[in-house]
Amino acid sequence: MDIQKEEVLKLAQLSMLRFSDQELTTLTSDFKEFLGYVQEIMTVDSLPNSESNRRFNVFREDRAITKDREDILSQAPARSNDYFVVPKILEGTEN
Amino acid sequence: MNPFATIKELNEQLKAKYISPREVIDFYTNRINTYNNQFNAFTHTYEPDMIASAKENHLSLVGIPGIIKGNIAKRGKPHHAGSNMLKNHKAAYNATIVDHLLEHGAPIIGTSNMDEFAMGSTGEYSAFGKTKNPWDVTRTPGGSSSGVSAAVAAGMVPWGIGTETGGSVRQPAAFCNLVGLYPTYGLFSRYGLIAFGSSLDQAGPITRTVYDNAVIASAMSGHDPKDSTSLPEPKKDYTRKLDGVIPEGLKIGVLKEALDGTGIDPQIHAAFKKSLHELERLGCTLKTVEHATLKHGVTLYFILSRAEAASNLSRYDATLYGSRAENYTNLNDMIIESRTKYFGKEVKRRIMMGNYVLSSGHREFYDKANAIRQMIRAEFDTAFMDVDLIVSPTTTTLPFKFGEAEANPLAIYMSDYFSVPICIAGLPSLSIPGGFSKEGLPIGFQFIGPRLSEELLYQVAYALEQQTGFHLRNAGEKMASYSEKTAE
Repeated sequence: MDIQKEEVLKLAQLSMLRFSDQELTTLTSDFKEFLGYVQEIMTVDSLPNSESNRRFNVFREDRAITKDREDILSQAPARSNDYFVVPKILEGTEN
Repeated sequence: MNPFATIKELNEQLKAKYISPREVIDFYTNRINTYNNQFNAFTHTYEPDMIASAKENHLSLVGIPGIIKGNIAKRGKPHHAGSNMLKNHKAAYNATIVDHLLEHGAPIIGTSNMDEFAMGSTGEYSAFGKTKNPWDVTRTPGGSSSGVSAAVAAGMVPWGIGTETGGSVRQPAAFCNLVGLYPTYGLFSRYGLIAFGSSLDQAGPITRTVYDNAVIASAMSGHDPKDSTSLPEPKKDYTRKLDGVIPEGLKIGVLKEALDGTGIDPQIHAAFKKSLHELERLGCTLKTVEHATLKHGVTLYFILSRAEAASNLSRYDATLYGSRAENYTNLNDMIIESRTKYFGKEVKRRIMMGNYVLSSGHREFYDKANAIRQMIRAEFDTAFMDVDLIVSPTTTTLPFKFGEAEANPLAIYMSDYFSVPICIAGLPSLSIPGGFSKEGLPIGFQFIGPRLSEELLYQVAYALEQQTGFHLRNAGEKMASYSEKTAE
């Protein structure tokens, strides 16, 4: 199976990562090795995946657990008093 | 004091008031101050909580310090996962296993180095630099629980808690002549562990002896409603059957590949066969077990762990916690710049491959891997209808030299041949010291059991350990030779 640099670039966008052209070339060749390697399992005779039969839900009481607010806010990369600060997300509005 | 004392010995000396908790903590703090620069096992040390209220019995950890891996949460302490992404992050709460250890009076004395987000088998992929193996400083202690294993092996602490997704507790234990447990999936709570591959991740104790391992496992056990995959099992004392006696008529399966030695370092194979002979002398019956899908384990792990990692690591968006890049143009750019800047190379490679196998059009790999996962499980279930436990070497190779992983990654992955299928099947497995190579490097021997067979695993492993005595050798002599060299 082959993979082209364009597809690796698209995956980088999906992964929210940026790579230099050189890094993309290296990654493309890593991908070729990876795909060559994992190919072997495609020939294994297996029953259809019945993983869903094993699923069950686990419930617990719906009760709020309060952590120390300061413990959490103090970890924020940027904060203003009791708020987390992020860049403006609405386009076309004035500050 | 003996830096290589066991939990059991320390517990008895403390109980007899021969030494005080303060003396033990100070002794190990001095050891850390002397040796950590050399091995880089701890990233952070701190004054532990001195809990005197815990029950005084053989499971008490009062005054017996331990190290936790950098991906386990202890409130107010570094929780970095070996990554620049979380380099300055501190946990806002305790992991449930940490709470359980504290209930037993455990003084947690520091946080360990590790491969970034537990992705690696050598400790080299850490933002805090590599960790060295106390048995040979030109080699890695294994990974990803590199710092925990090196700390225990160097006598800087008597015990530590690692985490394992595919060999990361048992392999470094094997490389450092220690005991490491990968428990039944769900036996120990995952609440407060930084997620990598959620269907595989488990925490596990790393200690010098089987008995000590059982003590820590007993402390860690107990159902946790905060982890939906936690099994509804009561707390248990895993030391109860450690008397050196093996249950009568015990049948032990030997994986065929392990018996044949295919792909296994000849010295490991020879040591393995000697241990098999010891098991026979203890009265076990050996039986060859053929497991047809075992050989796909490494490939399956490759696919499943990367898919789960890509999902789990999508949460790092530099918004609520973690490192944020300085320069960006908008929200999206802030996330991309931060992830690009603060994730390491191996982590990025795994996220990319994970997203590949999860993207539409390439789902066939992921679906196939899940289908074969069930076959691996079913084959183990069938095998355990006929034998009580299964054994194999823990790794197929001796401890890696630095740089080997980057030069030949596929060879490194194959070293996990016998460890990753166990995680895929969610079965418990205990690695114990299994001998030494001619150059004096530790070799691991692992037991694999059916779900929730930890008590039997400890019982049989204890008997073998007492028979072989490999656990009695420590890295002290080798460490002394390094300091002499430094002094010259």
